[in-house]
Amino acid sequence: MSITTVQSIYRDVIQRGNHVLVLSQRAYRSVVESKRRLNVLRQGVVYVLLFALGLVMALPFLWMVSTALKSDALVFRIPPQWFPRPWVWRNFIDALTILGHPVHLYVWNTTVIAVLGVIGVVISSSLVAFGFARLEFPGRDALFVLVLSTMMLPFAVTMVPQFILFQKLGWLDSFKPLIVPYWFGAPFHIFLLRQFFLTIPKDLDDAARIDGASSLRIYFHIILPLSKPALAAVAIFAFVYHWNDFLWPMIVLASREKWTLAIFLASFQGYMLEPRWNLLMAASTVLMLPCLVLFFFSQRLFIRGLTLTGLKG
Amino acid sequence: MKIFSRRSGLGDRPALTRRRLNQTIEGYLFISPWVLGFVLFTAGPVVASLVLSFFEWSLIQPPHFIGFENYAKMFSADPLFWKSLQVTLTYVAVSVPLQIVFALFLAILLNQKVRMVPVFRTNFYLPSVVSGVAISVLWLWLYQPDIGLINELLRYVGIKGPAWLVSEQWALPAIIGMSLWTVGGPMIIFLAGLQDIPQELCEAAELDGAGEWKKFRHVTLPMLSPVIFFNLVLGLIAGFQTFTQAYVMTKGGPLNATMFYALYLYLNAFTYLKMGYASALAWVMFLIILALTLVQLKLARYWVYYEYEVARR
Amino acid sequence: MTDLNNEVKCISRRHFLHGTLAILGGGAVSAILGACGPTPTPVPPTATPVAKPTTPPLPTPTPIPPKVEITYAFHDTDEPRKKMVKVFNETFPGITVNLNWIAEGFREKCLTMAAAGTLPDVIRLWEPIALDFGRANQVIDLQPYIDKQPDFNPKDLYEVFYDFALIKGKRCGLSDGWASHFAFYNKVLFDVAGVPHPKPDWSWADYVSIAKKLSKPAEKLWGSDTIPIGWLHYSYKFIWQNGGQVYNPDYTECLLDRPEAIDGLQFWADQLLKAEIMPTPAQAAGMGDLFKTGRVAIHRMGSWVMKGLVDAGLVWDVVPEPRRKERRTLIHTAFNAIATTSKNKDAAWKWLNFAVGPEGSFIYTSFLTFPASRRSVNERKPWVIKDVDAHWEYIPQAGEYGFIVPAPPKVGEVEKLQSDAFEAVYLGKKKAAEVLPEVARKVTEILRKA
Repeated sequence: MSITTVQSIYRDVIQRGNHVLVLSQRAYRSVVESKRRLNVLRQGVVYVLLFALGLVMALPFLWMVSTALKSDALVFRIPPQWFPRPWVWRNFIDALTILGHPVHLYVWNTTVIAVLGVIGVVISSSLVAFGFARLEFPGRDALFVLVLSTMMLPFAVTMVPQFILFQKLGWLDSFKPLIVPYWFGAPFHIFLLRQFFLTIPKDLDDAARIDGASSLRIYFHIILPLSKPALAAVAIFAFVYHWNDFLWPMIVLASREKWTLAIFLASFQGYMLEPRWNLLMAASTVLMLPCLVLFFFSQRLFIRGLTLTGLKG
Repeated sequence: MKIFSRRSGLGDRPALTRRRLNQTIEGYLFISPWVLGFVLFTAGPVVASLVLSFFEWSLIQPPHFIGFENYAKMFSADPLFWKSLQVTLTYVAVSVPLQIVFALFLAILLNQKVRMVPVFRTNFYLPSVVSGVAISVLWLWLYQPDIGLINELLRYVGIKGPAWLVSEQWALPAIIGMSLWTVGGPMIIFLAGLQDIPQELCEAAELDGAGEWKKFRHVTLPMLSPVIFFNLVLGLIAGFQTFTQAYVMTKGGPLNATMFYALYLYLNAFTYLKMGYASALAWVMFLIILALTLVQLKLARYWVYYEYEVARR
Repeated sequence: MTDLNNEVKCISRRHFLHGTLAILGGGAVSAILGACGPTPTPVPPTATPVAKPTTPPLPTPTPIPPKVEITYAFHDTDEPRKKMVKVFNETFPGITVNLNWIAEGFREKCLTMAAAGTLPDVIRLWEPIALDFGRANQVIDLQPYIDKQPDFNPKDLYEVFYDFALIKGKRCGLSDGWASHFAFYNKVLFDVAGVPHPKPDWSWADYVSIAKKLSKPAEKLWGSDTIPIGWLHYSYKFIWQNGGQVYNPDYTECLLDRPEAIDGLQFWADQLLKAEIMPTPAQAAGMGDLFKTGRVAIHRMGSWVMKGLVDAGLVWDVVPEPRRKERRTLIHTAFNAIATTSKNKDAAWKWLNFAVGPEGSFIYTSFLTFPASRRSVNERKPWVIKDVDAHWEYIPQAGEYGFIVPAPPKVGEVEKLQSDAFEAVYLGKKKAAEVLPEVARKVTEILRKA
């Protein structure tokens, strides 16, 4: 089956999908016109809400930045000063050079773990989700419940056996235990992708199959292109997860050259040592920026699910 | 979309056609990464924890078999088990629906056609990226009984606020309140779902004279139901495992008012050195979550709108 | 509808079982379960106090091979350790010391490594873990090594540190440095109010009357800092200073039912509830550091705060905590121990002996500005912060009268019982006399069974 066949089927489905209603341009315009006034008011309300909630949601970030800029003496002032005077920019330098930490190494380590983990989890989870969403085979749904159920047992009781397992494999103090398992799919992402794959009409597959397309081909040429938003969402979730995860890396990694950024942040507090909140916040602020930047620039990809519009119904 | 299609291959057993056989093989091939990963990395630790739930094990001494004693003790002689179960069920029952409603509300707000939406989206996602431990200081201040921001605001409208985190009665509500801050994940999934709703459907409803509420009730909600369902299932699983906030901020107090089940389990594993008992607690929790999830799967049929079937017609 | 019914049933029974059975095939299971037991490693001959007194196989003539690698794990910071390793290698160039800084989740990681039988050769353990590991034979008896070490002078160590880790006749760890609780006070607030500074031999009554003079609760200013009620060990000081004890010396009995314990706890619970000299938990919650921000004049806290006080620019001084019957305070420390599973115990001892010895512990304690566990090291005043004027001489004295955080068996469990009771007393829900006898009985029961 050629790509053009698939595309023609695709078009066909789009047209059929529109059977719900075909709007005439004129009718559409009149609706828009009559609603314009209401829209101005409505937009006003939306902006007020966005700004108000935006401020509430920005509090933790503002707090971090403001604490990061405080001198030691100001950190504990209650009620807090949101605009400290003077701004101690030096804290940012101190935080990232504290105790001779090789922060550049931590950045590299974390990036390697996050990027490899994300690539693995996106590829494998989408393959698995395809199997669960679009193929029919005995035992499928029971296995799917098993997928879900692996999320239901708390990590606290499987951590020690997992540690022993990776010790037997000789993988301790390496990145393998942090990356390799994700190459076999993660239940959260499998579930999420499966849900999205299920919203793509089955007709596409059926038509392609009649043309003799294999499942792998359907996966690559129909499902994946139509699921970019979901895949991007999975990638973001996975990236943020790897970036911030610290308990498991802490448990399996030993030498400081292998530390991740999250472990570095954790090292700011310690038993019998006074936590230096301003430095901690300065480091946290810098280290969360990659997540924010990534989110900001990729949201267009994963929030605009418009590719699917009109495909269903 | 519901979790299982009727043609799941479980109930019906017509003669295996060639295509069905092919699909079966293909299906298992597609999910094989997960199956392999499950067998290699997950199954061992999971079974180990099940086996250990029949042992007494301090982690530092050899385990010894005690049959069902852990389970018997849990139900007959451990008031904290019941207390923590009650705390967790209350938390899940209140916070999961609240989180879903709030996340949906934010998603709808962010789905409006206004300027700067990408900035607001990033803004609303912020609290989900900020590391929890660093922010606990901020929360402690927000909930400060005398001069904390929340009680200041309440005083402004003439209410004398409670002592929040140091009050036996209000500590749990305070933690539920905090959980609303970090709904970035579900919010994004809702956003993706919202943008998936065909524009034509809304416009058709508008032409039919449907008001905002009717449109929301009869178009948006049904179209979103698969995503709501996803967030509900995961919210429940995550809700039961919640303990970080309580661990960091209240340590389960005051007077065990925030002794979450997962926190109690964790304390048993790594503070009381009763890993066997913790495993038993984990498996009881596992069964509770599994039962609730299966009930949800069953109920889903009545309210989750299933496009997949429509497409197949 | 019945469709789904059946489906769910099917899943929950047949297929789920299938899945579970499939798992059982995994060889991983047996590997893991098998490994849950390496800890049982029978007590090695060196660690058995009764066995073979004739042939101590210890500092055996076996010379240390030219190249050995050992691992040293600790929780706080690796900066001073790097320097220690450098100095150590001048004497023992053949021993490579890998540093394993467990910055977070220390307890969890120690327990996990112990369960897996992969503890680092030398590990610096907190008080309760040290003794638990000693009881479980996770770490070895150091006495035979000490006996063979000609330059090791036990008398140099404060008794409290040397004797604490002695469990069932085994010395399972050696302490290097420590921090203990004092009363820190804000000199400016004292001077402004015209209140004379506290004397080192002050009593609880003095404390209360001084704090009263400095308190203006209406203005959210208090003479005394609040009591951190979730911190159980903090309250032990009140029992000790009142002449009581929490446990008997061999941890077989809980003594919280004695009048010293009951009265001591109730005294401070009353002060907290009256809220005349100190803020209540609700008033203090979320206020951050009340002492650093000048809202309280006296702050009873561990000596690790000193550096922070200097950094915050506070004008402060230090004095021992007040007493009622005895001068007591709380000491925090850690014990360096050698894992039973270590393959290079001789090299491990060489390092441990250096780390807790005069040279190593000075490098460590002077970095953190802590007192050391050796009297000779303290002559070099490692805890003094340069150019800061304070009664520094009080700091090491606590080594002579303080008590280390107790470490009974089943420590987590018995402390949970105590915390719950103490909390009820501090919140005014119960009187100490009502709850402590019951707690003491329950705790004793657990201790006897252990």
